[in-house]
Amino acid sequence: MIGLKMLFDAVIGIFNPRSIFDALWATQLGIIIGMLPGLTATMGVALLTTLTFNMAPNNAILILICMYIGAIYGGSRSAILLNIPGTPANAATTVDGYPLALKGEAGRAIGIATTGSFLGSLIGMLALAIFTPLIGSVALSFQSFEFFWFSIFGIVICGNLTAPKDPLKGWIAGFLGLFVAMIGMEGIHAYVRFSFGSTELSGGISLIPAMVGAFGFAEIITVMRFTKFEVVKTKIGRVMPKWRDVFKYWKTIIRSGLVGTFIGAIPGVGEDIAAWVSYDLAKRSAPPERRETFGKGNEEGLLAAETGNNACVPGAIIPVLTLAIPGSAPAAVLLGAMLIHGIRPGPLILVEFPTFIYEVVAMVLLATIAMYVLGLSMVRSLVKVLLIPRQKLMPVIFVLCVVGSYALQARLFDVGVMIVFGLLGFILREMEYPMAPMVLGIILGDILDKNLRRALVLSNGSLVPFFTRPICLGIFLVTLFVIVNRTVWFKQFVGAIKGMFARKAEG
Amino acid sequence: MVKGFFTHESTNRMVKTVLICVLYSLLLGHVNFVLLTTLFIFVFVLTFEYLFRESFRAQARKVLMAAVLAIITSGAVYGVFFYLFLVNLP
Repeated sequence: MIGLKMLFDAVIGIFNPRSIFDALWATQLGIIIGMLPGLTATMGVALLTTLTFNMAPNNAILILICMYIGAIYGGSRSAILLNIPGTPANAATTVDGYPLALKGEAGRAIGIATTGSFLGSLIGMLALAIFTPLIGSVALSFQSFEFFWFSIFGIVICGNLTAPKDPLKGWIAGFLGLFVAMIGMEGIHAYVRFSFGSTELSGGISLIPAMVGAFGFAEIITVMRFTKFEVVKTKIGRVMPKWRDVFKYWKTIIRSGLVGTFIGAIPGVGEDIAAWVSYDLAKRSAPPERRETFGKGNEEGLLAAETGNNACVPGAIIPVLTLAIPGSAPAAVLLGAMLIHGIRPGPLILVEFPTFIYEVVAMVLLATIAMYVLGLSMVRSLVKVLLIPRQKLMPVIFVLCVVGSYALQARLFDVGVMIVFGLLGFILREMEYPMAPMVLGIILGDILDKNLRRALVLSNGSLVPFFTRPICLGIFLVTLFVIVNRTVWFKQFVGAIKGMFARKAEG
Repeated sequence: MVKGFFTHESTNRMVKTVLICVLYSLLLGHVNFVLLTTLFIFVFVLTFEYLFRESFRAQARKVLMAAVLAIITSGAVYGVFFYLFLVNLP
């Protein structure tokens, strides 16, 4: 009951003129950033973090959440009209969104995508309101041993899911992030490590400049490489969808919403995976005759992808608030922003900032409403944004990347960090190494290091409790399974057992 | 194959982008911010838009638009960060 009252108070409190104004401009900016291929939600949230660090914490977090939700939705616009996902989260949207636009139904496709995003966000928001306090109260019993294993699990599962072809690349990227996090003063005795005598390096690698580089500068290089995009030449008709057309897929909406939220809550696994899994499940569960229409402009496929990716946003905030472990790359920046504003997410949030969880739920609600209203209005005029030449837009974005990296601590070293991580991010991306595990590694490095050493102090240097405490053993076994499951010999072993059973059944 | 990579248009564009951006970052703190940012945006836009095989007269509009964009952006960024966010820009 106390929780419900806090939620009610938070919702009433958020609907004030200042918050509504902030939500509208930040969501609109998010939609524009999401629409422009090359500008991702992570980059938008990271750049806006640097612009909001003088604001009151709640206003700043509201603006960042609006940017996050707006950008993930905004990417569907270019996915439908350009066949290029505005953000990686909208890759699955192109599969059915673009064919619908080619059929002359761009307006309808945008309407379906907007409604799917709205409903997905609402489902995710409900999960955020219900599960965050529950997980938070369970997490209060976690000790350093459990947090160590959570960090390892986060890197392994994130590497596994973001590099499905070769998970080794995902794990390498994750551990690279962990190594980067070891640079500078360690968190217990402030002993300087891997600084090679450099005063600047002894302060460590800041998260925001590293992320602005990996997701901003790297994107700028990628975007500038390609020749111009072609906007589909179609008349955008009625955008407001018929509710009957949408709600006949109610099962898909609920399934995609829940799947998206669950995937969002897995550390480091972002909206792109949520969209693809939701899309795939919608396709598999469709009757055979309708299944063939997926990829040819099926509105159910479009709805599933957009519901899944936007449901992932509140889902990704759940572990941020309860465990201080981000569910996705933009959520990682959000976590960094919360720390900058003096809010300490993690198990103690229920004790230190009990109302904050519900305030975040109210912020997600406001952002979702703003997204729906803005998503269905000004559609035709906003399409013109897609026509801005990249060579005019990218230098402006780069200047913001530079100034944003510099502004946080007013040191040029951070601009250097941004450049280095931009180049590193570009090279790694070209070699098909995912960026999300690396970013997660940078965040989790400090948590992992501190908790490993604290746990070793508690156990007098013994490693036994890492494997004998029930939760630790559970996480260890799941992590081990995730790794072993991807090895060739494990697949051969499973194949051999299946073959043996098949022969027995025949015999 | 290596020669093909270096002469390919996309590689050319990528190298140009990296060079201009890195040079801008290296000069930060040594040259006045507004001047450097104006020059950076102007050079960046013209690097990808200006065609040397065509006459300057035919492309005067492009040059003018690049200059306007550069001046407005650098002025706006300086104004917002220096006066609104009280950040001492390099």
